[in-house]
Amino acid sequence: MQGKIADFSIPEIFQLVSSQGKSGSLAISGDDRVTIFLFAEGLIVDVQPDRREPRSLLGTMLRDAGFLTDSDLKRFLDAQGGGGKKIGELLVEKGKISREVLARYLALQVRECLFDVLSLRDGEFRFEGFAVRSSPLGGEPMRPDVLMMEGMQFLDEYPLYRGKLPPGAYRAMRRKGEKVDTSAISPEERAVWKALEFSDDPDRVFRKACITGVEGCRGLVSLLDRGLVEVRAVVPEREDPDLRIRREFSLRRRHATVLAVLWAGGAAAAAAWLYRSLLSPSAAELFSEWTRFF
Amino acid sequence: MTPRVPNGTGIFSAPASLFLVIFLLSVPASGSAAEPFPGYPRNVREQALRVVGAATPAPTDAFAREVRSLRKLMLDHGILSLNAIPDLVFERAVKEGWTRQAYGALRETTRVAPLSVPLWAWLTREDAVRFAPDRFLSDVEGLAGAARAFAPALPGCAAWLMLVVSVAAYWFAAWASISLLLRARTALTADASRLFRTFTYPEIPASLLVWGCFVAPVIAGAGLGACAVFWVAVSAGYLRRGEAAIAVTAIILLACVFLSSGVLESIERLAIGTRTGKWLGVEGYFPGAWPEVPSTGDPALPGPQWERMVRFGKARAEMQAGNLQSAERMWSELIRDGQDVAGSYNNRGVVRARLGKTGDALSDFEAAAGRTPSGGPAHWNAYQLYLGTFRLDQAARIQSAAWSSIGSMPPFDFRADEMTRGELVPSPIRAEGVWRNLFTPRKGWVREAAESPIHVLFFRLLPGSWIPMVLAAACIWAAAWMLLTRKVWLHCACRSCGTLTMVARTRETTDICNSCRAQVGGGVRGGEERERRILTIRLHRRYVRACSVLVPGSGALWAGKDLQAMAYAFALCTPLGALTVSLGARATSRGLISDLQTLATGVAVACVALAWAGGAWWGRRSFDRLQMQYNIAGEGT
Repeated sequence: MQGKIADFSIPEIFQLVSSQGKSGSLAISGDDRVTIFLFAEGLIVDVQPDRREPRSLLGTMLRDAGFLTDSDLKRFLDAQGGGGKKIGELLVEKGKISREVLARYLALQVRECLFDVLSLRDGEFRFEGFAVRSSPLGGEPMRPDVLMMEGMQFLDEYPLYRGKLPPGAYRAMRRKGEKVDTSAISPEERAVWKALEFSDDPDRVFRKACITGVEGCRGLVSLLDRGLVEVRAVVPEREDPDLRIRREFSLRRRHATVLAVLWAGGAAAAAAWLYRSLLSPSAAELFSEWTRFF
Repeated sequence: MTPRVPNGTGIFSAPASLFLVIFLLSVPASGSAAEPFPGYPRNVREQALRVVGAATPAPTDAFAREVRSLRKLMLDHGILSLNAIPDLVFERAVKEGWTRQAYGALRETTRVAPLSVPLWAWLTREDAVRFAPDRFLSDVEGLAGAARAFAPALPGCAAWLMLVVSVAAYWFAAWASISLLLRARTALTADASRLFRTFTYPEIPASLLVWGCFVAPVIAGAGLGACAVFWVAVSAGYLRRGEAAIAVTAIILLACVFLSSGVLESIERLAIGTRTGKWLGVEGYFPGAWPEVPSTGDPALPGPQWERMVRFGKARAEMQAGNLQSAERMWSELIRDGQDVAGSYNNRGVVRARLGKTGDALSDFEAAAGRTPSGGPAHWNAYQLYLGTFRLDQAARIQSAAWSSIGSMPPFDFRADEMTRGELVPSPIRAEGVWRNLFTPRKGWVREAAESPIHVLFFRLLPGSWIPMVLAAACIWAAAWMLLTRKVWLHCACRSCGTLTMVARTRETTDICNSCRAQVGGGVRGGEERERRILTIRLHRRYVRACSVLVPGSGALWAGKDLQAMAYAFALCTPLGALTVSLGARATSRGLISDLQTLATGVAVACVALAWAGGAWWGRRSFDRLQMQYNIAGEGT
């Protein structure tokens, strides 16, 4: 089964595959990329994003969320080379992430890819039927109709939320000194609030919170409305996270060294002061005033 | 044969001899430089000098004879002890290099200086070194007896002990305040950085601010107590309950020590100059000056007690100087006023017996014995008079009581073979009265404490009258912060890994972070967060280990062993206090006291070194165990 998106909309395609309980792959192409969804008995079990869009790849997502460094990712991608294993399996095997984390991020990947293709207005689709067995590491299969409803709602609301944030690249951070009773805010806001401790880059924040960009924007705007966070536009620039970490660590080490020197000086001053107060000849003379009649 | 004639080059030529004669005459002889026994009768002084001159490394019969002769003379003049003798013998031993062989000679001098506390203390130490348990016990008894009977020893010992305890308390306050500030430093810096929100790196000015809080009072020359209070106040918001107990203990100790300087002032006023011949030294050093007798109600010292002691001392000095008529009058006045009646009766009896008023003397001794049925010299004196007047039946009646009373008067070593020649034993000033006087609470303590040199040394920059209020305010401040931290959001540094979190709860519930509670090691399984956490753990570990070495035992505070750390601090600060005071006492004293203080300094140094090394090791080990418990022992290595 194949056709054009203009003739047969994406929701209709997903509904058709789902309602008929089909198994196989649904490839959707458009905007110079191809995204493949795998179905098992009408449920989505996996997705293969286009390799030309690394942002949606699992390794990149985990790196942005802080589970891997660039060098870790490169090493695992190299190791993955000829083995045929998926990177998620490799990471779980090597103990870099847990099964639960992998399942959560695979689900996020599916949702992100689905919301992404929902925005396509032009392109093609192609469904090939074959037996698909869900991976034991892949987590629970997802119902396309539920995801579709959620996605359509987000597509409607997204411009509203995004409009409240600075156009283009921006940074978000907690207001200094603000405290939050996390039990009083929504789970989405809570996830964003906690992840803001990790980074000020919204993409990384949403990755860390394990939510889609649309959900993240909604949570961030809620926090902004509550006055708990502040956002500011930045010049579009994507710094190498590894370099940034090295710089930060180097700064912290230098800071610690300078502090150690300062406190060593303070300790020397305190020692001299203690000596003068309690052990010096002048102090001894004072004490001897009291013991002279001993 | 050519006769030999002097060539004029010999050293005994006439001009050279004349020069030597003039030179030697112009150099004062050592014996005349300073009178070692001023005020005593001439024959006693001369005999005392003979005793000092006869002392040798190995005790000889000649030395023992000289000592016995001196003792006889002393009792003839009502003198109980010449405390300068053992000091002079020891100084001679030091000069001639037989200090370690001076034991025998000094033991012999106990008979003429039984009230010398340093002598008994020195002998006790030697007994311990020589492992002579029987001698040791009898010397301890002598030491206790001298301290009880010789009034100046009590203020001296009291002042030394109070100084040791006071200085140890100051050391404790320094230890507690510094270690608590270091413990709170991380969280304090994080909170201080909230003041610098507009800075790119707010932690840098915040670190400088906290460092400044530590260094500024030191550079400003503030006293130790003032600094300690300031540091405790700064770190109060970050303390656990046990640590707050340490802080409050330090402040309370500072308050006690502040008051103790007032007590020291009164001790000094009571006893200063006893070794240089003032009134309290009457039983060991002949008094050369007398304090004014204050009117009743004088805030300096309680009037009646003070007056009684001064009058008793004056009467004793008159006895020793041989002014028997005036001594008798003074004892009679004391008896009339009803003060220290047993001692006064006994001493008046001695004076009257020497004046030939045997009957009056006997009635005085009987009156004294009636007031001290358990013992005392009055029984003996009465027994001696009965024997002297051949009333043998009466002598036989009280013989056993007389012998038992004279035999149970440590530190006096009254031997039977020497006590049958009619010696009469006077009563000394009762030390108990002195002791009671020292610690009678007075309003003047606070005022005197505020004006004492100790206040200047330890509370500089704070006016003396403010100190009690400042200490009370510090306690209230600490307690208020303990309560406020349940409502005010402050940073809390994990004791184990150093991770900072903002909390508004008690420190006990939050001072171990969730990652450490979950024992997840690096915290996450990989990546940037793990590296960040490992760096935090590494820096925290270095910091705590450095603190453990610089402020020994403080590492245990991170391990949550607050009360053990406080106990350790007491163990460390006590020898530190002894070291400080013994350094001062050693520098200005001489003779036996200097030798004893040198020993105290050596022991204190050894104890401090041991406690310091042990505390550093214990603090580090406690912290390492904590990290092991939370599964981060290997992280960052």
